[in-house]
Amino acid sequence: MTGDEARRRLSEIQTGEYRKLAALARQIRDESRKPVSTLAGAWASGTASDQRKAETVLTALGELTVESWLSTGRSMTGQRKTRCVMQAGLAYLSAAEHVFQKLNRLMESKAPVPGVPLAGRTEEKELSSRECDEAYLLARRLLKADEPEWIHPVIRKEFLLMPVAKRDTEIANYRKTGRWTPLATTEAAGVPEGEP
Amino acid sequence: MSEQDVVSRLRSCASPDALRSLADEVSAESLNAPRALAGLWSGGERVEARKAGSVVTELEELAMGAMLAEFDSCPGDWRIRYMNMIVETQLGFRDRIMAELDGLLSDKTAVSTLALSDAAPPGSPPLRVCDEAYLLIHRMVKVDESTEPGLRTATAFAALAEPDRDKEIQKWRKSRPWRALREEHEEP
Repeated sequence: MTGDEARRRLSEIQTGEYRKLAALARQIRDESRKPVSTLAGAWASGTASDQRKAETVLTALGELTVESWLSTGRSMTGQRKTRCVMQAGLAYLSAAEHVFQKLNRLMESKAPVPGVPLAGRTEEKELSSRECDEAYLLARRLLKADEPEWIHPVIRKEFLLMPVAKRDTEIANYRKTGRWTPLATTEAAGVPEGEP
Repeated sequence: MSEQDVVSRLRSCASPDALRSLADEVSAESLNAPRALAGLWSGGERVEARKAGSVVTELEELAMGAMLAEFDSCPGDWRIRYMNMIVETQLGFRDRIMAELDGLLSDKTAVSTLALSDAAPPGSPPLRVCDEAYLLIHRMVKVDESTEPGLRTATAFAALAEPDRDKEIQKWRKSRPWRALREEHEEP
């Protein structure tokens, strides 16, 4: 589906027609994935030459191929299945590098981030933050493997309650050394300091 | 581009440049609609923007690709919103890949073709599926050996004999990062 067609289809859907919006999303997903899944199919069942070429193209497509590698792997066994999982991991890493470059650049920006209303406990005011704070927190969430997902809202709160100068020092320290400073929250949960 | 077009284009590619050009074309085509809707979400009239947002949030890796492509030109106050969604998508994929790799950590089959071409330094013992899975996990989560003192670096791991690699993999499965990754949605 082209961009113009997607915009036109969207304009024909009325506010609140959630099923139609979901159907449009499904159609875009299916159609947009088709060329990549065709390449994954050529890799899985083509000639040796097709496989080599398809792998080169898929590698260049990076983040767009994770889903196709995982889906293709589901229908395969043995070394082929293993290879699909490994390729999905490599595509993830390619995307991660791309994402981290953007986060690293955002860590230089002191621009304020507009508050997003908190769901649920509305009496609690959202803490103000800057792009560098948010980028640091996102990078920490993505890269620091020993901090489980459930602890990140607590880390976020603790970090954003710090004085601005201390946050700047934390961010600068991470960018210089690649090491994460322990926070009281993580120490209490038994997570050690250190890099990712 | 139809399935047949993709396959015939692939077969006619005779150079790395031609393959690169095919990748660019596939990427542009796959991201055409997602980019249009991401642009509408961040910069369109309110009602259309809200509808576009409902669609974009369902597009997974396509939304991530569109947002990465649009990132430098998106309105400033949308950059963090984009990054939040991109990181969420990445974490979702990481969970799924880790679940698959978890299964491979028990597979002692010899690897016939390395996916990680630079995984084993010259002279290392041959890698098995479990070894390669372990090495990929370490690239994906970048475990710091100084905070997990029992774990070796990737290079040191690849140089070990098979029984020692098996012990290392068992140690990893009991480590704090692995437990955090595999149980990360469960509160204690």
